[in-house]
Amino acid sequence: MSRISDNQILSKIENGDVDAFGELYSAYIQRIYRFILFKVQTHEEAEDLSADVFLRAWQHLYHQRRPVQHLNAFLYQIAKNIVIDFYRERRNQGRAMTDAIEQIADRKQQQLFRQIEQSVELSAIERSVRQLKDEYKDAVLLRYVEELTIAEISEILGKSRGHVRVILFRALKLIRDQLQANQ
Amino acid sequence: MIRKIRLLKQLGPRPDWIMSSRDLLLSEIRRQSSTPVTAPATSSAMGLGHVLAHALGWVRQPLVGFVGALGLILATSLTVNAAFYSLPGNPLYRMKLTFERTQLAFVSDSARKAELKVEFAKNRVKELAQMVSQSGAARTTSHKQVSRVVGRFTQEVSSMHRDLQRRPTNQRAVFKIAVSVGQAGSELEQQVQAELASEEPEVTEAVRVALAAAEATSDLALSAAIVPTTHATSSEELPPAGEVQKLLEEKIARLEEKINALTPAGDVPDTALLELLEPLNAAKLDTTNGDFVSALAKISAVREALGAIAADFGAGDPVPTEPEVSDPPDGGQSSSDGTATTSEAVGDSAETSDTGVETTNDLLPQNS
Repeated sequence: MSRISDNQILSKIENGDVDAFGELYSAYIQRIYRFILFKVQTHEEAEDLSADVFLRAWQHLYHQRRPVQHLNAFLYQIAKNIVIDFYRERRNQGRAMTDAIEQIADRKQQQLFRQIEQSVELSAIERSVRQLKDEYKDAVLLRYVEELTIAEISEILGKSRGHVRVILFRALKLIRDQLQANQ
Repeated sequence: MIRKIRLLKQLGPRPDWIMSSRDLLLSEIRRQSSTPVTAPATSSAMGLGHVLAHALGWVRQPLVGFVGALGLILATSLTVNAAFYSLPGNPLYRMKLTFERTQLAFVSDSARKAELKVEFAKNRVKELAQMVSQSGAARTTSHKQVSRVVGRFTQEVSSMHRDLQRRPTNQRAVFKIAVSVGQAGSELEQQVQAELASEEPEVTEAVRVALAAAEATSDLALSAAIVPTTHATSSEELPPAGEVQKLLEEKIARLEEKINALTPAGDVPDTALLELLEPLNAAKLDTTNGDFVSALAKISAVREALGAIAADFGAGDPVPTEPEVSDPPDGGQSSSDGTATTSEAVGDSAETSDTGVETTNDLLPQNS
């Protein structure tokens, strides 16, 4: 969505236009879902948390009337916080994390993964990205999958533009090394 | 390599999920944004109007929302009905469970989450009723499937603890939850009587755990409902005393039945039973005198002790002191992420918890 259309939609939402919020949802759901998917274990969890992102966004925009300048950054920040809260609750319930893609419990989601994977290539790159630490993972996904600018990424991650460039450089190197090691 | 990374763009949510979740989201937002029904000037009428509007909205939400959203996906009323009434083993059953989970994801109010979970627990009881009503060659479900459905019931009622521990503000609604959960447990027990007669250990154990979880959750909800909070500024916001008394008396009666059921088991010493009956009698007195908080505390203590005795002597149903919170339908596994940042508060549904989970006000990017 362009900056102008973002502002128009935001204005409508602040006035309680639910259909405008539906447009926002349609425009951003795939990106938010993908962003969360790499932070959780199953498609199921990604779906639930993605839905929560938009409910919170509505509450911030309409009920709390929080000013928002950059819709992208706003939504991704909510997504990050929701994932953090999700793991905090899980940790307090004494659950342990399983980290490998092969340990996804939902067999039907695994089938979905296999359907999506058009080649071994996709599976390998996904594994490599998942193994990155969070800020590297976020930077790579936001830059190369969601195609955000360095400026937008720096706002979402709360880091300087120079730092974001360094993170991207290091992340790509790690992915390259990982892929070469697996060949 | 960047080309390879861009391949990840192919990952995305299911199209049917996008459609159904969008419709659910917008209907929930409309519900949250709608104004209460106005009523004639008297305060009781206005209160009734508001409760009625809320109740109607809540009752309509699961079924109508489900039918509406699923109808968009499947586009035939027959298929929609089939999914809603589907049983384990039916391909549409999974969609039914997914729909329930999606509904929960769009609700932020703790009491409303708990209400939905009661509704879903009752769905499990209805499924059990259908499953066990089949007999002989007509039966399409196994004991294993029965125990799985019972297990899901347990998950629903156990997962309410988190919601109830957040001290929902509508104590009357929470009281209704206490009543509903207790009733759901009783209905579950009735529905699986035939299964229990078969003495399949898996089913028997699943039912035992389910009933214990239902009672424990009912107690927790009742506790949240009757303890005055800063939110309840008048007695009208607390549940009616007569109804609370009735519920407590029912709980006491059920415990007395369980204690009497232990009597024929010659192993159980009379002194152990006396130690149970004494506080139970005191609870009766507290209930009559209107000291509901004290009565509930005694009831919970007796239930705990009864569980320990039953476990020691292998008689009756041992009751866990804390319900087992297995995988809640709206969650999954955790991680050792260790990230130390915090989450934002969202208006009245600020995510603080009495269990000590600290979520603080994270500030979204401060945009000028």
